[in-house]
Amino acid sequence: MDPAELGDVLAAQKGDEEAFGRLVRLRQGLVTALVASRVRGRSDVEDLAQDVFLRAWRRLPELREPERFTGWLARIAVNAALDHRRRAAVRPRGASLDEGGIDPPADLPGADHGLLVREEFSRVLEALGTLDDRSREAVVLRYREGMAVKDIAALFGDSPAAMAMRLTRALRTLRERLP
Amino acid sequence: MTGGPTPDLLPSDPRPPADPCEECQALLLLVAAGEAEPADASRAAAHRTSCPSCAAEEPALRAAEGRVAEALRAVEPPSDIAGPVLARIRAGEAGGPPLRALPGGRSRAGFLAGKRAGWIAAASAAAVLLLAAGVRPVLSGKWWWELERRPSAPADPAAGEFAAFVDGTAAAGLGFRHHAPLGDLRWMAESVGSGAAAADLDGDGDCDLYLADAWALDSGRPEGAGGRLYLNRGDGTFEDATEGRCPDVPERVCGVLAADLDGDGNRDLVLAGYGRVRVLRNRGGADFEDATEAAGLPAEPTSWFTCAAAADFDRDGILDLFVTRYADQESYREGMRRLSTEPGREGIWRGLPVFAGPRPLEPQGDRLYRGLGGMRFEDATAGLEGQEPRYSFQAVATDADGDGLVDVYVATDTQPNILWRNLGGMRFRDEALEAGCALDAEGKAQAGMGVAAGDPDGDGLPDLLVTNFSNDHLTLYANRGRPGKPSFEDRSYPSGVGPASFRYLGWGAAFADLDLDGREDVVVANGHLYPNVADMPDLGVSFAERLQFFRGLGGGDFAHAADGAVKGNGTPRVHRGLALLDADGDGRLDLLATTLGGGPALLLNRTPRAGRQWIGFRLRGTRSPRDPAGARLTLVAGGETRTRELRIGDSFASSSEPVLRFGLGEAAQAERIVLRWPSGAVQELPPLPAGRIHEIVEPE
Repeated sequence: MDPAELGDVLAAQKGDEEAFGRLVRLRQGLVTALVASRVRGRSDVEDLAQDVFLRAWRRLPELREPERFTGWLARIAVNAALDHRRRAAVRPRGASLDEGGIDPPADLPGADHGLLVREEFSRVLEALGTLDDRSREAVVLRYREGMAVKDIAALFGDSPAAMAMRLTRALRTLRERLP
Repeated sequence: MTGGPTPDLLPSDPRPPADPCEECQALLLLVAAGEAEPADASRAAAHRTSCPSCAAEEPALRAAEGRVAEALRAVEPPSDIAGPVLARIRAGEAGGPPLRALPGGRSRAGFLAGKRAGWIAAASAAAVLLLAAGVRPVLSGKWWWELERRPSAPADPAAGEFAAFVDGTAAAGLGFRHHAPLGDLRWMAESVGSGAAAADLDGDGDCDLYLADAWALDSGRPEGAGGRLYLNRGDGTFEDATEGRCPDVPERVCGVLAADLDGDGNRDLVLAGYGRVRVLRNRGGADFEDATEAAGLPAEPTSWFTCAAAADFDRDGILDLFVTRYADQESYREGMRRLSTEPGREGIWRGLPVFAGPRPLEPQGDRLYRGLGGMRFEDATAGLEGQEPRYSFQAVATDADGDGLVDVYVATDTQPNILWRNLGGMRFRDEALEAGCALDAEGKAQAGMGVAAGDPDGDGLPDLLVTNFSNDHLTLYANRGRPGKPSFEDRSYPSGVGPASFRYLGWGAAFADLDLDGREDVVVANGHLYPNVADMPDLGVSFAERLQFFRGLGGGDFAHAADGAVKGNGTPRVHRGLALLDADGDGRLDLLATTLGGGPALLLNRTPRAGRQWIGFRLRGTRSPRDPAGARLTLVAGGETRTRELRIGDSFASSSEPVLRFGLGEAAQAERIVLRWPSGAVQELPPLPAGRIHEIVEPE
């Protein structure tokens, strides 16, 4: 874990709001990606991402291993999305640009390059939407956040071997669906 | 990943079992992530070499990984949500800021404030990162002193008047005096003091004592200085039997333990000295001879050995030794001599001129000696994988993860503590950081002085209590581990030992059921390192301090007992070592606390028993060492399960009487007694009556 991030986690646990704000900026992409992988609608995603951080702020005293903040936050995000889905009775599916879920970066240099990224981004998200929930979350944690396989496994209560197998199957599926 | 993937690892997955190529690709994914065990990586590579389809698929999957990662990392939220989140927090929507209250109702708010909290957190974070990267830094400065000083918590009413002691030192005939130069302490090594060993040394069934001694570094040995042997007359009084029975020991000695090293039925002595580890062989009847040379323990003039612990780490039936070393005080002294600088005031602590230490002294690594039998040892320190120098004060040998192998936990001064997990074959790996017992809950290394192990929460696994410098707290690590996977949770504050310990500097400590109610209590021997702390009265600390008691409430929680709640604890002393024993044979645990530059304190337990029962077990190994350190006994009494582990070298510089003692409350007998010997043998015992010590011999 980056020492600055860990420092912010420790400070936030002691009530430092500015430190928590830095954590929000650092991890809002992760939370948004996790939430968007289960929840449709741009406004719902944004509201729910905010709710996730509010829950995290409230529960920070319960976090006994600050170096595991990322995984802990991810679990809150996943649970929040599940709660939301239960309440809204929304059929789970992957988000896409067409459904107004999340956006690719807007400040890419060069219109052509930006267009290519946007198309690629859309294709990957569509393919992700075909995975089962757990595999999709594992892929996000592994390839967006760079979390260790063993840490993701611990988060889901799996063995590292089982998680490696899950990721392999997910990659095979994604490869088939990404021309 | 060990043992390779198996098809049933994904029981919830509806897909059919994995084919060999899928298993291979999963392993290759772990290899690419840098998380595969070497054996698994080799196996996957071998499969890929012989399987063309696998070889072709791997680069495609790695490419897919890159493509997915690139796309996902471009994901950003619709807008920066930090502003709205903070606005909602400030509006009270999140239910208020964290840490207004901790479990148990103990406030931690205001403990750290503002910028100070920020840089402490940053320092902690840097330490964690460096450690995670395999770097063992010397943490700079004494930043832990900068914690806000808080008054000690008031006594918890739950503690009540739970224990009573009388000072039996003089009546017992313990005339020993420690020879530290209290009025002229120039070097840190002079202020660390010495401990005591309590054990039956002459084989007559009662508990004898050996008290270690040390004196000034810059002057010769004072008249009358040296360790003393006291034999129990059987009535709780002692006879000084040093002359003619105990050879003279030239070193200044800090730590001492008593154990039957050669299995001849007589307990020997191990002395952790300034410049040498020395062993005194007991020829029977507490008649000792110096066996150091024959034992293969060389002189090491610059080694400052502090404490020793004994256990059979390799399960060969012979006790091994783990000896901590602190720092190279001698080289520092030589440097000061060359500079012609007057020592003793070159350091600074809270504005006070004090002797230097731990920095800039060079820390030293610990020593592991493998017992070969017949009082001979070989240096097995190389088995401490990747050991780097630390300021080690004390080690305790305990099976931290319950796998049957005795591990070693080391309290270190200002550096992360160490958990040497026993891998078998005299190989150890430090897993303290991963296990959560290197740093405190706030991620900082503390100034560890001593450590005790016990089972106050009754789960059968050893919890750890680390004593620390003043202006910091006792640290209680509750064991949450499983075999092969040690894990601890810092419960210092929720348990109740943290808040009340802040202004004391602790050394020896013990878990002990002092009131025989079936729950382990805590006692800590306090005393400051710096004699001139009284020059700064606003600090609220003093050189001489009282013992501190916490009454066990069960479940790993404690109530702080005020001075008045423990009768006979009115005298402040500069305590150092602490040993538990039953000096007078009444079944209640007495305390022997050593002091710096003074006499010991033998506090006889006079807690009213009010019908409370006790039981004790004296163990004799056969396949295990005769003194079977590491043996673990679990019993049920009154419907409650309790566990004790035999540890030799169990407190700072000291070693308690090697008898497993239990308070039983009102239960008249112990039931369902199971004893796990260090050899691995498990012995079940029939129900046994309370009120006596039972001799148990390991089945051949």
